[in-house]
Amino acid sequence: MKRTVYSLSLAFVAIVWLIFSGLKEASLFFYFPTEVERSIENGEIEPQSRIRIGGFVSPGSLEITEEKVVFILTDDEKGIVEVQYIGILPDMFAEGQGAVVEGSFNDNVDWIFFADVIFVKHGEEYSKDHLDKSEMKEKFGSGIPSGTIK
Amino acid sequence: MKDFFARHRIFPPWLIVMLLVDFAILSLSPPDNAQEMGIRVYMMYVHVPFAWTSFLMTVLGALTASLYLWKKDNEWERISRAIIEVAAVSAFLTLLTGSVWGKITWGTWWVWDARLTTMLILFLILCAYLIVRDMYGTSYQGKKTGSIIAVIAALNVPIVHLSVNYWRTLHQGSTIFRQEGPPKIDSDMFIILLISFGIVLWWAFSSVKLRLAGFKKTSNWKL
Repeated sequence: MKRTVYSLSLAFVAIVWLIFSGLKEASLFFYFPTEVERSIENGEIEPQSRIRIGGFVSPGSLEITEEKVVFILTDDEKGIVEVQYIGILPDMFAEGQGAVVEGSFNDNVDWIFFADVIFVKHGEEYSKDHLDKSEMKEKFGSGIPSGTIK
Repeated sequence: MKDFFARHRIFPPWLIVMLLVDFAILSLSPPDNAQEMGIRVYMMYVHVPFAWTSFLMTVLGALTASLYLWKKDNEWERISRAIIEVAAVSAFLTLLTGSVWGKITWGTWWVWDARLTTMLILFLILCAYLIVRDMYGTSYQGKKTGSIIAVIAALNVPIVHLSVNYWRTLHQGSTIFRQEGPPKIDSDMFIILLISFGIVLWWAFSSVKLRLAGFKKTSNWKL
């Protein structure tokens, strides 16, 4: 009886520890463009390290050619990252839509982010009416912990 | 094949009727324009009810398991086991439907973000319950260990629900049970969501009933 309770409590503590330690990294599923600029300046992120950046696709910036896709990811604080991507785009990917890109700056002097994975990120508001897309918050919803975007 | 359906009763006629009703209701649902999702939003009417049902069933299963641990009455354990089984199936269907919804909206079947990871952990804890209950058979040890695991699973439920608020995820936040403010959903979409939830709940409680009957009949599960 006691042994079972002890071992199960231990297992529970281990699970909780695994969740929180493991998610410490995953808890930041992506950086916002503003944070990327800041973190690279501070030396928290190496330019060549593989990271994810999330923001919304700046209207008017999307250029799709046969060999590559180029667009600008931005956030509410006017952080900007120029992204270059080669591959298939998700169906819902569009200008003004939220997106998370995975890749690296690859030591590039022009600070172009080379992405090889793109996810669409959408908010939690559902309606038959269109939303005002000028606000990133509306697109991303409250999934953003308060304080990260003003 | 007919024998299979008869034996397992996993596709009773009422379920097929309900699915047809569900599809009829879905056709009344407006496409989503807020997220440019269109009819992809229909996945919500399957995914969200299964998610809520898995939470509810896990909590109910843990409550009945606690009653068993407290009162030592085998009847509570029997009910608890039936409920947790349905919770595990619901959790699996949540992951499955979510994966499909993720593929058609985000463009990926799976990511290791906080919501998806914590939900997977919930499913794995429920699986641990099933394995323990199956391995130890009708012994007191097995029932007690299983019941404690059921309680642990329920402790994980609020973590799964709040994961989108405390961690930065690819998964969107809560639409209905938000920390502040009213649900961010059209009323006609909300009604369809509630009807779908009702249908899934009906399925869940019918399944619990079926499993309870199964426990009595099969000698292996005699208690």
